[in-house]
Amino acid sequence: MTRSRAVQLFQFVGFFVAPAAWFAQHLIGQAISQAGCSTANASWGVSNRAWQIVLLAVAGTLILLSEAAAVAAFRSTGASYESPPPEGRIRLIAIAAMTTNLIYLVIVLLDGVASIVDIACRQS
Amino acid sequence: MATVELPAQQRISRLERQWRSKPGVLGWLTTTDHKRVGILYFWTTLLFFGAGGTEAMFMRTQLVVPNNHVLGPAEYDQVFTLHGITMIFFFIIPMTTGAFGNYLVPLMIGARDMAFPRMNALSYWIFLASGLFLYIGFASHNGPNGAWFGFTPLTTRPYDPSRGADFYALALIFNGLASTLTSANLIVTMFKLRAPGMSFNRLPTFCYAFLAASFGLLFALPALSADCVFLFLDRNVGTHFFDVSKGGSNLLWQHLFWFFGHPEVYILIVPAFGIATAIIPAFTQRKIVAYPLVAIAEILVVFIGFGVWAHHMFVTGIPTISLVFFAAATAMVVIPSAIQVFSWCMSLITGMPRFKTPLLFIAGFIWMFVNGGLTGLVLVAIPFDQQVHDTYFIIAHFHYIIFGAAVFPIFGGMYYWFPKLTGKLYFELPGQISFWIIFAGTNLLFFPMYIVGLLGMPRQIYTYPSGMGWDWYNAAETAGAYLTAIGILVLFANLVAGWLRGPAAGPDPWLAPTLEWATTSPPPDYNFAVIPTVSSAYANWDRDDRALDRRKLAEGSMVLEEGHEQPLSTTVDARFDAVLDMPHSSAWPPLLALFLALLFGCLVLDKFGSAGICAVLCALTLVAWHRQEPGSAAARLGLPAGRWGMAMVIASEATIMGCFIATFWYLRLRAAHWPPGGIPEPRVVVPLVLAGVLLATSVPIQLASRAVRAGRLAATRAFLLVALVVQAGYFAYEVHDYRDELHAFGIAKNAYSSIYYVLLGADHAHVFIGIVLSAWLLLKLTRGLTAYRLNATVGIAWYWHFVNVLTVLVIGTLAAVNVT
Repeated sequence: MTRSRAVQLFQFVGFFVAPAAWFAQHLIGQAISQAGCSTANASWGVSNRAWQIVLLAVAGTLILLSEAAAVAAFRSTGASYESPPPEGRIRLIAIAAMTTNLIYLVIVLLDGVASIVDIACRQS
Repeated sequence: MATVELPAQQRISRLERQWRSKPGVLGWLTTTDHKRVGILYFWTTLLFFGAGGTEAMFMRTQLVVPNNHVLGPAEYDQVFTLHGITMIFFFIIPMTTGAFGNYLVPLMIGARDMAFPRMNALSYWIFLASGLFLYIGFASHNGPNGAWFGFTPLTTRPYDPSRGADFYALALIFNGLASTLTSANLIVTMFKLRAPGMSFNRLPTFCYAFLAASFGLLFALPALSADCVFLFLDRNVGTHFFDVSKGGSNLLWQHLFWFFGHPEVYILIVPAFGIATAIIPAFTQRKIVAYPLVAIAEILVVFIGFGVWAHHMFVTGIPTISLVFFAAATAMVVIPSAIQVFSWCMSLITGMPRFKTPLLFIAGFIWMFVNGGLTGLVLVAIPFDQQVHDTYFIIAHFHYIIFGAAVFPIFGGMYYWFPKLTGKLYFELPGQISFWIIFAGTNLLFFPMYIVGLLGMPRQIYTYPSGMGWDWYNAAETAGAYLTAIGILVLFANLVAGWLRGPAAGPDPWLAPTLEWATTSPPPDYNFAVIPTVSSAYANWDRDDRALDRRKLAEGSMVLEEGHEQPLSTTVDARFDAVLDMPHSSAWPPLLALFLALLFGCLVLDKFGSAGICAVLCALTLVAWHRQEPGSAAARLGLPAGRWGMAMVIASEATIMGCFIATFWYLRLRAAHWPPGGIPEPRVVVPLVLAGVLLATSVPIQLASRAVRAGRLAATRAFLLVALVVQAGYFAYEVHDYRDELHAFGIAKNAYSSIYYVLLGADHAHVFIGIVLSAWLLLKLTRGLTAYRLNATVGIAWYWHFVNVLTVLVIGTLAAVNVT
């Protein structure tokens, strides 16, 4: 793979993987937390804590990888984001990805840690 | 003496002939011009705004003193329900995406029209019909009365025997169709019709905001539609989605509604962010601070908004461990909002602000948004939310956001783009007076609501006893409401006066940075004589580019005057790709909207047979619509915008089917035994094998797609025919099986049977539509291959791949019952 194609890949990995990881962790995580407290779980025996740990680990890792890709894309070009494409566009997407991935990471950590340490099935 | 036209004038004359709209009422009825559609949206939404505002005034008049009886409890319920529905679905969304989006987005990106002009007109006529449908219900004493969120069980048949909830459910499905069409059109327009050079790092932040809102609508509305389908079926067919005694759940309604409803709040305000980011640079004469962060923040607000829905459900008894997910996302969605607030403030501080009326409204908007945002942030704390839930505190927060953060920028935008729309200037002093009256009025109206909310006044009560400490606050709120109404009247009086007697505005009275100001006021039918040159996000400030445009006009470069022509550009970097021949005025959109209105009318009257006839009429109208194919100009490089359109359809359909599948699992969680009620477990092997056979038809479909791109017509037809025979066989068997199962256990037996038949039926409907599309395409291909048919083949192939995967997922979900 040429360097320019790698940079193109990095920018899109940096931009799209982290939100996908957060959204998947969010949807699956809350669904498991509800399933674990549901009537059906009497026969299923879903372990909320184990699932949440796995989800946290997978989503967290993916977001960190996504951030690394965004940083790599950012460092690959010294151009301003106002420059003509592809340099300007790569710069813009990399800046956006580096910023937003940190937000996703914080949400995933908050979701994961709270759902692991909280008491399961305590009604609000 | 005869005058000789210069080459540039000749080109402009030719453009005027090519793009001239039909005159008179017929011209407006059949128009597909994005500016005219935008104007139609504008006036229609203003009428609905008047209706919603009148309802608000009735409510505030009723509540001005304790024990008042201007309205009785039943009327009050209908009025506050209609107020909410009208303001959200029939004013703010259509005013932003429909009026501002339609009128301005093509101009801002240097395009001559929307990607799908006829679909654009259709969205308007459907919007109009859905609004009339809702208000016909109200006028016939069948107005909805369960609030804009229509919570079950209040809206189910035992608690609401009137037709109000049926009008509610069908009107929202109908209206959702219009918004989905608009959003898909805006997305494809911004992806494919940007002027060459307008890469994503040069897209105006206004457009980013509308892109975010459009994607939000595309993925949020299906959840509302699914919910409304369930409600309508519960009320009219006897299903049990929301009947707890039969395994249904009222929280199911809330989950689906708020999965739509909370992104919806951001969808309402994000276009307002876009308006703010358009107005601030014009009146500070500086670029917006932190453009990349503002652009991404607009998208992020909507995206994270999809993860906060259950923060509306903190008092429903859901385990805390589930609620923390939503509290976390709600807390973090503040960050992109704060990024934008800092950007607006820093742009004002470091620029040279001229506080003309539009900028005053934006300054007022920032105050209202911060106020409403901070009182929303405290609701992240679950215990606090539980204390103020369903009190006027929530009403205050919500209205600071919706009126302050969405409507203020709309008013500012009306003033800002008034010169572009009319060619006239408004009067500045009355404009500023209107702002201050509205600003004072809204704060007097909404701020005391925080206090009465904290004092415990519940929302949606039609009156209250004296001696609760609420009297003076309510009186002040009502005074604020009347003051706001006066301010709004001054605003419109000023605009009307400006229209009639205002001085000429010229093309660019604000020295603004975006492309709509690079053309005349009002813009000509063709928008731009030359497709504009773009080399930054502030294209109208690039004087060299504008001078280059004038030279291009003289040379005839990028004028595209040989037809109804529009350049197509690549999605990411907006490089010139092809030239499209755009459709012109058409009578099919209003006719299709009429048949759809009749269909919904038949449904609400339980005339299901007549509804079927209307559905056939709709299908026939669509066939007639597509008889005329685009001309030869389109055949040069094809119509990839059409494939983007199919991608939008698939995205929307995938979301609604995802909601159905999620509903299946949600109901499953609530049952100890599944299927309940003695229903036998579904067969597994045969349905899965058949689903596999259907999936295998993706092979000939893909081969047809390849063959058509290679120009092999006979092979294309053969592959399509093979697939069609198998698909038709599958469908015939499945329909037979479906009918047999209905005899074994009815759809009205319990919640399981309800979702079983709805899920399976929806999948079969997708297969049926695919068969109809394939048959239509085969008929078209008997008369040869055109670029239009090539793209139709590829688009229908995409649709079949989607349906085949969907079928496997649906059958797999139903079969999973046996192992769970």
